[in-house]
Order: sequence, then C-alpha cells, then structure tokens
Amino acid sequence: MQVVRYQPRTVFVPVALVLAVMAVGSIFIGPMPISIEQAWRAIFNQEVAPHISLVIQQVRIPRVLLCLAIGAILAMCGAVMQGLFRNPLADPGIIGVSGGAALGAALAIVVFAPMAEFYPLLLTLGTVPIFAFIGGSLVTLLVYQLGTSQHGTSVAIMLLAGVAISALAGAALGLLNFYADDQALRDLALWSMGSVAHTTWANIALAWSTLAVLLYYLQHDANKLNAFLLGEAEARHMGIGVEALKRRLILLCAAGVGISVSLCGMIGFVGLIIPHLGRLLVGPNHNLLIPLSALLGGLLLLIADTLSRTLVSPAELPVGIITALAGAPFFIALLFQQRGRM
Amino acid sequence: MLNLFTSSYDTKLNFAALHTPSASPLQVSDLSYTTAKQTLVDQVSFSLKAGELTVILGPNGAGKSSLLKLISGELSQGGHNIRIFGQPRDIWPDHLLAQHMAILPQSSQLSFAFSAREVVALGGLSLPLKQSEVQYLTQENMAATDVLHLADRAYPSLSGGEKQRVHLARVLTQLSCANQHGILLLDEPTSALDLAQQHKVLSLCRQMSQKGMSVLMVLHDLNLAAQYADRLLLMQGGKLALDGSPNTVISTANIAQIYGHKVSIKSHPIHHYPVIMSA
Repeated sequence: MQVVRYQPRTVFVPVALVLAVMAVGSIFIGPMPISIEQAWRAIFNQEVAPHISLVIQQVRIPRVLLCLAIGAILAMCGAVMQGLFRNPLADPGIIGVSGGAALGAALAIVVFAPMAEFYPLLLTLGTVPIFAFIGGSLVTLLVYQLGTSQHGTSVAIMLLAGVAISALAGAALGLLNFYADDQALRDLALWSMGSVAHTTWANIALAWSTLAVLLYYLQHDANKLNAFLLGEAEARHMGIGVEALKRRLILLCAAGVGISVSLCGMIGFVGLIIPHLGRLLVGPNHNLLIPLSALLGGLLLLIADTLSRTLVSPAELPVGIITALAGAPFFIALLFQQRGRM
Repeated sequence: MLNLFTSSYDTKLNFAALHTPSASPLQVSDLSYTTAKQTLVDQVSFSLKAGELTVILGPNGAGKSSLLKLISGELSQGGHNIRIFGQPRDIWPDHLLAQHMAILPQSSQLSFAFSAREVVALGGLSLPLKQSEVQYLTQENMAATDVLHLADRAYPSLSGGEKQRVHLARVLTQLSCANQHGILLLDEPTSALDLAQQHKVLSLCRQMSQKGMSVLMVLHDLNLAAQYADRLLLMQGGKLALDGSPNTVISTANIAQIYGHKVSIKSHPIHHYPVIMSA
C-alpha cells in the first residue's frame, strides 16, 4: 500500500477558502430573507432596518462564530484522543467523556441554581464549564486506566467503558432533573437542548479563547504525540516524558470537551469524522492533522447548523441530530473496517 | 499550565557535563532487582566496550528481559548501579539519554498509516537538528538498513522483517548525534522473523557495532548468538553465570549445566564459531 501525501498547501488553502465562503454565506441564509446589501449594511453598522440589524448582529453572526469555534475544538479533541488511545475509534462522545462533562455541567446548574438569578455570568462562564471540565477529565482518566495496558489499548474495553459511563451519566442526569427546583429545571432544559442557537458574546469569547489555548498547546505537543503512536515504551525511549504528556493531553481534551458541552450541550461525532477525514488528506502527522481538524471541524458544524435551521424552517432541528445522522453510519462503517483487528 | 512545559535546553552544554568519552558506554555494577515474589536480577556486573556486539542468553525466566528493562529504564530499582558513559543512568535528562541510547522493540503496535519514511523520521524527534538534516539522516539510514525502496509504503502494510528494519533505521536516526558511540539495546529482535530476515537484521547490527556502537541484545537462539556475538553473557536464575567470547562460553558442559539439555558442538568449518546441535 503506497502512501500518497498531498502538499499541505494544496489541502489547507482550499479548505480555508471553502470555510470562509461558508461562514460568510451562512450569515445570509435563514428564515428571514435578507439581501446581501442589507446584510452588508448591518455588519458594518450602516443605516438599515433595525430588525435586520438585530438578526444579523445578535443572532446570525454570533451563531456562525460559535459554530466555528466549537466544531474546531471538538474535532481537535477527537484527533488528540485518538492519538492518546492509539485508536481511530476514540471519540469524546463515544468513550463517555461528553457524558461525564454533561453530568458535571448539570450538577453545577442544579447546585448553583439559587445563585443564577443574581450572578448569571458566574454560572455560564464559571461554575458550569469548570464542573463540565472536571467531569470530563475524571471520565477520560477512568477510561484510560481501564482500557490501556502495557500491550496497548483494548478497543472493546474502551468502548464498553464508554457505554457504561454514558448510561451512568444519563441516569444521574435523570435524577438531577427529578430533584431540581423550578429555576434549575428551566436552566437544565434550556441547556440540554444542546444547540448553538442561544448564545451571548461572553460565551463566544470563552469558546474562542479555549480554541486559541488548545490550538497552541496541542500543536506544541504534536511531535510528541506522533512518537506516542508507536507505543508508550517506545515514546519513553525516544526521550519523551510520557506521563506528563498523557496528563497534559487528557486535561486539555477534557477542558475542550467540557467547555463545548457546557456551551452547546452534547454534539456528537464531530471528533470522530473529522480526524478520520483529515488523516485521509494529510496523513496521521499531528503537526498537520490538528490544525486541519480545526478547520474541517468548524466547517462541518457550520454546515450541520445551516442545515438544522433551513431543513424545517422556520422551526429548527437541534444540530446534534444532524451530526449524529451523519456520524453514526460513519462510525458503523469504521467498526466494519476494524472488525478484524479488535 | 505554563510551567508544565520545559523544552528549551542547551544540548551541547549538558552533554559536555555528562559525557565522559573514556568511560565505558554502559557499566552495570552489582545490579539486583527484586519483586515481592522473587529476585529477578541478582548482583549482575559487567561493562560494555564500544564496538562490541554483546548477546544476553539464558533459559526462560533467567532474568534476561528484566536486565534489559532495567538498563532501558522500563524497570527501576533506584540505585546508581547503571552508569552510561560514566554517569549514573538516573541523572541523565530524558532527551539527552535518548540521543545516546536507543531501544529496538520486539514489535510495535503502530496502527496509523504513517509511511515508513515518516516512522524513521520520528527518530529525529529528540535531536537538536533542523528538519532538513533529519530528512537527510532518514534517507541515509533507510539506505543502510535496506528499506529505502519501502519509504513511501504504509507502515502497517509491511511484513514483520520489513517493520524491524524500518525501526532499526529509526533508532539509528535517534543515535545519529552520538558520534558513532551510541548504545543500541535490542529485545529478541528476531523472534518474529524468518531465516533470511533474522540474518539480515543481525548482520546489520554487527555492521553498526563495527562502526563503534555498543550493541546489547537478548536472543533465544544459541546459534545466532554464537555466529554474530563478540561476547556472550549467559544468565541463570537472575545471576550472570558466564561471560566471555562464544568459543569460551559455549561448551557441552556449560550448556548442560545452564539449560539442562545435552548438546554436541562443532566448530564452523570456515568462520570457526561454535555450532550447537541438540544431541
């Protein structure tokens, strides 16, 4: 089997162009017909009907920005987790990390509900993401301890651990719903609808700064992660501080998944499809795979979100349904491909 | 989070402080390793000479792999009984040690579709070299281990022998800043290989030792060891039982005592190394 590698430029430039066109395009698409000229005026604060300026500035642009950041975060975390587990099936949703993060987020919403009325920003930017991060890291550590041994990662155990943890998280979420007071219940319901539709500029700032931090630190470890693919012992012999690397990557991924879950609920399969696609284009080298996953992840979520708000317009589908419809068959196809190796 | 990363270092400075050229590449003195149940390595002492190929032999459970793992750092016993170029193993910074000592694994579990060339280039990771220099070394070492024609093949699609030679090129790349004085450890490098591949890998190892490297490997096959080794270390029950050249160590009496099996031994008609036959 010959390996064909495209020049990075011939992959990144077209992907970035498509992404830019899609991002601008999706500002014009929506239930309310807005002409290009009107949108242009709204974006640059020129004279335009107030309802159009409101839709563009407060609804569509924030939404596009959030999609780009969350898609990129989820795809990068997927790519890194697959490297960490040395297995292309490790997706934050499938192995239970998103479930753990969701449980943490829900816990924070219920526990801190009484304070929400007075400090709304503390809840959305503080406790919820932090609890989601803690839930996500605990699950990642647990699955890693369960699934990996000296001889590599057991796919079966990794996936089963994901099933068990997702079930546990689901049950605990149900319990929380049961015990939550009215305010908390309202917040939980709003949050668990999991979409990119209701957002604030503070959320967008959080998402984009998370993206920047992750991109910087993950890229910093890309070479080490490449060596890690050979095996833990091999990486250690190549002079890499394996324990510190694992700890760092687990925490970074849990932070990424935790923050995206706390902002948008559970959006599955982006972290599975995109790194796979990325490897087909540039190979498993994380130096290229991580930034490419960020671009492609943003693009995928943008497309999924545009579909979600146009298919049943003027109503909306949760974007997680679209990504699951695309991702689940893809996952089954990957399972078929891997069947001999499990 | 910022202080988690410490990557900037001055390699030359550290290297000058650590590297004592006159010292033995690898010196093991009075090394023991005990688990809760048993003593796996028992007061082993030896030191390697640069340019020698040394083979560790012994029956199953003699402590060969444990000894190699202690040297490679996979097992640790805390003391300063292992010295590399005169300095205790534990005080070497990881990335500097990696430039001077490399380990060829029995098999590698890489399942992602790196090309063979990309796997070899991974060896340059801890080296203070530019990308282009690593590319050049990759090319050279792939030619040396005869895998250049496989450079653009996907690693998972290679045969066992081809994978071993790719990894050999990778560890050679890793040692390329050691000025031909690296230490190469191999744990049963031929266990999954057919006859021709076994000899190909071992003669490559011998070429490297002849260029000045210290090669230390665990083997099971007495005949392969006798043919390629400059020196044999025969282990039994965790202890180093015999230490010497193949012609002095391999005798009917020694093999009977250590393996509990009767053999007859002939000398190879041309190369004069011992050839062992089960009696």
